[in-house]
Amino acid sequence: MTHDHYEMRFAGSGGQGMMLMGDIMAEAAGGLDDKEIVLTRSYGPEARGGACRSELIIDTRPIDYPTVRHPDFVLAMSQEAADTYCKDVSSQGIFLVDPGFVHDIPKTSGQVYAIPLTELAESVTGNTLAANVVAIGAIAALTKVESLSIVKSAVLDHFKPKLRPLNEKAYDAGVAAAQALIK
Amino acid sequence: MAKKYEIMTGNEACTRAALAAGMHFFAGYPITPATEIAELASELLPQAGGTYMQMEDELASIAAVIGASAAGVKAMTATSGPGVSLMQENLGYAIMAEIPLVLVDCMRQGPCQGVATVPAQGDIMQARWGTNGDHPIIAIAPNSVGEMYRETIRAFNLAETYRNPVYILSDAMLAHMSERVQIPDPATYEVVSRKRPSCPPSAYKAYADDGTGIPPMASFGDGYRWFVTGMIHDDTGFPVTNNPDRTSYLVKRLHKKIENNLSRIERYEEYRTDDADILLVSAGIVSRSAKAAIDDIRREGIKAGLFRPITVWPFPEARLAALCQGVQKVITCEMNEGQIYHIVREVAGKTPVGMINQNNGVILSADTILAGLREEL
Repeated sequence: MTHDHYEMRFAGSGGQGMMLMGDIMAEAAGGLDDKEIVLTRSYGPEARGGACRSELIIDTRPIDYPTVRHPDFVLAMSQEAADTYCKDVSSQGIFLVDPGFVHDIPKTSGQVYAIPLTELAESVTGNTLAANVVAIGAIAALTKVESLSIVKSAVLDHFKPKLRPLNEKAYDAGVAAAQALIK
Repeated sequence: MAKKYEIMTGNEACTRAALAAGMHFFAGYPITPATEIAELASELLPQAGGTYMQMEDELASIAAVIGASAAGVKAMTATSGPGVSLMQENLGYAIMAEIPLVLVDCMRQGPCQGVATVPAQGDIMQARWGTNGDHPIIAIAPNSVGEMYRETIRAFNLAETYRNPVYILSDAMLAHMSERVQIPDPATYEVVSRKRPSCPPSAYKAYADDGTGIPPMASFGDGYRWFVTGMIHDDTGFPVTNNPDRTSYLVKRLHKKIENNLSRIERYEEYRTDDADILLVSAGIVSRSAKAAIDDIRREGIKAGLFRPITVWPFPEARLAALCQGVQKVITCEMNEGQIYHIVREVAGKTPVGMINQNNGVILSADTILAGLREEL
């Protein structure tokens, strides 16, 4: 599956790594693959907590309007994010939530996937902070917007050698969890 | 895999390009959405042998930049609309004393402190007329991170060539968004430095026209005597009061530096203007929405095109005037109450001019422009 134009939104709370997810996916598409990207970020003044989101547009051609209009993919890592952004998901789109934070999954016209990203991160790596990398794995598998190997390279490139094994485990766990749901 | 591009924000592109253009000094005071420029300059400038100074406010920031430039180095400051307001007095001083500098304005919603984190285009007229008296100014409004890189280098070149402050008009969106940038090979672009005096110090007159309209500039500490003032002055720089001829001469020479070199300074982009019946005029980040709207409305059979001034000051009037002759209507798209609309009306002749604007901190979208076009036509 290829996409000429793909819009993604990663939404959660400060400290969950939403900004980093945008950076890594942008690097995969715009750095390692040869696509145009626009990455925007929105966050409050808090270092942790507070609504934040990162939005990425990937296109095979130059991107005019730089803001996400009709997201093909939305990740919600908080109830607030789920309630706010469920409405925008396009009918062909994918809505991924972490049921550890989103207890009440709102109705959306897209396809809903619930993967316990934070719980998986804890069980596979012993560190809940890796939830965003679990999410990247799940996103790569669900959206197929970039190949699994390119996204994995972008993840590994991002971290210092010391942290790569942990993040590789997290990434693989995300891929596996998503693939189990697709089947 | 070798990477052809680097991904960076508009603020990062601006800072890195400034260094590529030879910036040696930065002074600033933090303000959203411009702070990252100061932050990165504080990291990179010392590594490059330059100087970063955090000042106590914006007045001091531009004053320090003027001092550094007078001492011979390329200098920049970065702020947002409220900070630009504070800088206006000294900006006028730099124009009068012909001190090259680059002033980055990451525009945010106004008036006053407005909304710190959201984009706007409310400083287009502040950039033109913010400081008192008639004066020349150059202002560049990039619309992408890649263009931010290239035009920041050009901003320094223009400041150095014409001994005049140059604005870069960014905005909260462009400042913080990331795109791919192809870092140009330094062999492929020009880096210009101010013209230095060739005469001995004893013969130097700091403001004597050498025939080009742009006097050679000595540096403080080089041994050349140079009086710097914001007053109308003679060729040595000393104030001249109550001399209508000298006053007229100096004001005209300052303006002519820009007016006589429009073709070297002005830059614009045209998109699908060849067969256009409707001409949109839009600058900066909003021009991207306008482009998308043009593609959309062309599918409905309406031939629309875009004129995008990259230098908003001097505004590329001659080219726009020529384009206006061939279209049925001109419509500006902007995030303010009509600052581009003003100038477009001046040059459109008999062609009617409309406006699609939004002034709420939200990027004027392609959908809104499209709806506006359907209403206007």
